[in-house]
Amino acid sequence: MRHKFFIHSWRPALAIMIFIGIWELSARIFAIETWILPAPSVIAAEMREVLPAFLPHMFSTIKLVLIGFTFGTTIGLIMGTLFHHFDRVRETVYPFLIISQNIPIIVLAPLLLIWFGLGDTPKMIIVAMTSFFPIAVATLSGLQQTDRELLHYMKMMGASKRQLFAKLELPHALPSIFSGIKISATYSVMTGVVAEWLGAQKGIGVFMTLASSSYRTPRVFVAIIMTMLLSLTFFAMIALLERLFIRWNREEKGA
Amino acid sequence: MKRFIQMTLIGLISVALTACGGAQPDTQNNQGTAGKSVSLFLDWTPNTNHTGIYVAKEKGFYKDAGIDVEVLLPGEVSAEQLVATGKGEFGISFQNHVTQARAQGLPVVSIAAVIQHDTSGYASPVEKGIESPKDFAGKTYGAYGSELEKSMVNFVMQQDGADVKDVNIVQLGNSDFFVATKRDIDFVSIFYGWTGIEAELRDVKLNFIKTTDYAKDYDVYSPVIVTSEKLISEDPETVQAFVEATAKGYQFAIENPAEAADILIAAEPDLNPDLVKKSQEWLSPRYQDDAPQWGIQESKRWEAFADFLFKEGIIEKEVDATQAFTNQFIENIKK
Amino acid sequence: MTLSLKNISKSFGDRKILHNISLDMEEGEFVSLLGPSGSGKSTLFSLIGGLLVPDEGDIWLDGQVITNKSGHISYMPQQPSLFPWRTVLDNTLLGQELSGKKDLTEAKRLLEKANLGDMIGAYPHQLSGGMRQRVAFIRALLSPQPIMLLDEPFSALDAFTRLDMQKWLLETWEEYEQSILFITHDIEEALFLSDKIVILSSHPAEIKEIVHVPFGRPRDESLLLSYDFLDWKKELTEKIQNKPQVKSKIS
Repeated sequence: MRHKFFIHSWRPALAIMIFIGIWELSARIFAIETWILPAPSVIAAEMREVLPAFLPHMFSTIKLVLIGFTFGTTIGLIMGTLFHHFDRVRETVYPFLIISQNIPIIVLAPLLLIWFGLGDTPKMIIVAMTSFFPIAVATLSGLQQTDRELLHYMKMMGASKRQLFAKLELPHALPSIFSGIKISATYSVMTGVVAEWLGAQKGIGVFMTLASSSYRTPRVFVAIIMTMLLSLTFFAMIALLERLFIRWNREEKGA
Repeated sequence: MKRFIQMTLIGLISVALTACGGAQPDTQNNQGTAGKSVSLFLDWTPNTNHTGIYVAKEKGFYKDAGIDVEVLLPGEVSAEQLVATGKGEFGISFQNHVTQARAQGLPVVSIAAVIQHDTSGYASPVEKGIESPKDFAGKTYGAYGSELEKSMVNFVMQQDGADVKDVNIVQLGNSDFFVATKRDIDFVSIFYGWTGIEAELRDVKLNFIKTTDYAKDYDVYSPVIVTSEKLISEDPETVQAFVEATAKGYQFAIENPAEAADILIAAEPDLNPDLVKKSQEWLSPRYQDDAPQWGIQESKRWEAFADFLFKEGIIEKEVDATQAFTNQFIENIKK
Repeated sequence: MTLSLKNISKSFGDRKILHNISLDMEEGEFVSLLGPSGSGKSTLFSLIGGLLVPDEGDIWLDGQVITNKSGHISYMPQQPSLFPWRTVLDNTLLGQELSGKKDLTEAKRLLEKANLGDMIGAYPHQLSGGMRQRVAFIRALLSPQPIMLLDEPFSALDAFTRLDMQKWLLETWEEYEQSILFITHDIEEALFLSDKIVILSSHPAEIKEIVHVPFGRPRDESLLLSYDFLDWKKELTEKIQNKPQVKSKIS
């Protein structure tokens, strides 16, 4: 299974390398200013130099994102489940959820600041707020699409509501739930970085602000690239978890 | 295979586009000396630092000088970057920004000092009990996102026998002074002319520690007007015209603060008129202050500060201060 | 455990599906409900399973009314309805999980007997149609309820597999001896498997006749080609088609 991953990943890897090659060449040929668009070699040099200073920022962001995301996922799962079981709750609360996703962070920020201060809490709340929604929707959708035949079987066998949920609805909804989690995870790192712009002591967002205010574009790129890598890693971890939970699906699709 | 070619092309095109955008700065169309269009990028949202410009526009000083000035907000990009790449002819900047930018290779030059002496300082609500820099110890500083803040706070504290390591520094990002200091933030660096005056209006009592009281050698020009090296060498007439008209505008504001304030209010109706009026009263005498002429800059102040940045490791290259600014346009103003 | 249906009638709107169905099942009896497709047999199952309420009549199990109550019967639906995320073994244990105690040893034994011993850890999508039906049957068999309801379990299989499955079902069932209520539209199947055949008409479904199948047990494949068997098949066919009979073996 592992070598299958490598077989599949050589294409994007090669594409990236070609892209970097073109970038480097263009930067040299066109003599683009470093403070506009630094060449990959410059970014790499900067990364080597600045990594020790960057790591504490990165760990701070990772911690913030992980906690916020876990919190958001839990809320999303609970909400999706509640909505599935209680129609009236769903009808009342669902529209508010949609509205909540459309409040710009800039508006929310001062409020959160006043209520929670400048610690990690308001930032984790922002991450949680943006991550729970796709998961709530995916969970609800998954639960509502329970296979009718299996449902009929369970009812004929006299399954209680709790047995129905634990043995049929939930396991059946797992693929859908994981889709939601993957979407959420992908955006959560960026959300964490943006949340740090609210006010933070450390974090990739802080690092980026300091770098861009000193016109150090290579450093900004270092932060961008590391953020992308973090997102990818996070996504890969979730995909791995998915494989563990949904073994039966894997073979069916011949992945 | 097709996908490779596609991706290669896309990569090539995007990099080339960026390159083109960077390598050849596009200057505004030149419609002859009459009514040449130029743009000026502000540093932030419009405030009384910019009054002279609005006056020059309103009173036709720019028109008389043969240029048409468009005032723009920079958005997420800094004015320095916009001017350096030629997206705009002029911009509002600060001596520290110019020095740092030049250290990274941005070819921006300061052509006039808007306010002669640094009006910034460390402000805190009186309840926090911060009366001198040594009181910073054990408190939380709300930073606006520059590497140099820590060094400055440290320098100021050292003059008072303390050290910045005892200060908790938090990046404030976009958060507002009044909201931030309500909770965990104890003190913030502000320009008195705007935020300080706002506090007066709100009846919020502040302790204000003027930076230059403790760092008189680092009296930085804040703000300044910048342009690109390219414009200076290729079209000095336009720069001269601009500087002259702008100087006239600030002159008017110095002599007529109330009327100048009204011009700003009329041009930017989103501003709080009370704040503008009170701020203008406070700021007008300070534009020129004790200098022989508005906009003049001293070499030794540029050099001293550049040395400071270099010593503190905030810039890795020494900046030739004499290249960072010029008085040529101010001095050429016809009397 | 004896199951009794007393005067069951059921309509959906103004369409009457079942009319006055009365039926008694003895312990360990294999009863087939024979009728054309769409004649309301599945509705009857849903009523017995407690998912629907009859408009008239009651359902009794061992002297207790179980109308509108679920959990008293073991069910094998038309489609195998195995849970794709459970292994074969875990699927067979599902009935016991819901209302009894899990007995892994017994489950494994039955699976071995069904020639599914090396598929115990496999997932349903790896099994053929016939294999899945066998797993579904074992699941129903293992469930603690005394009565099994089988809804046309072999109708989707090809003729060869069907015969194998019928033989296998008889073998496996003979060991357990639960009562089975079996829906089919296949006369041969009903004759081969059952002790009793309930012939249903349709629109609405009514009991036309209840026929006792005289063949002894254990039933052998050779029975299918005997003259007796073919005679019975002919008579039943005529009964269902409402043709007048020349000779009647039934009384």
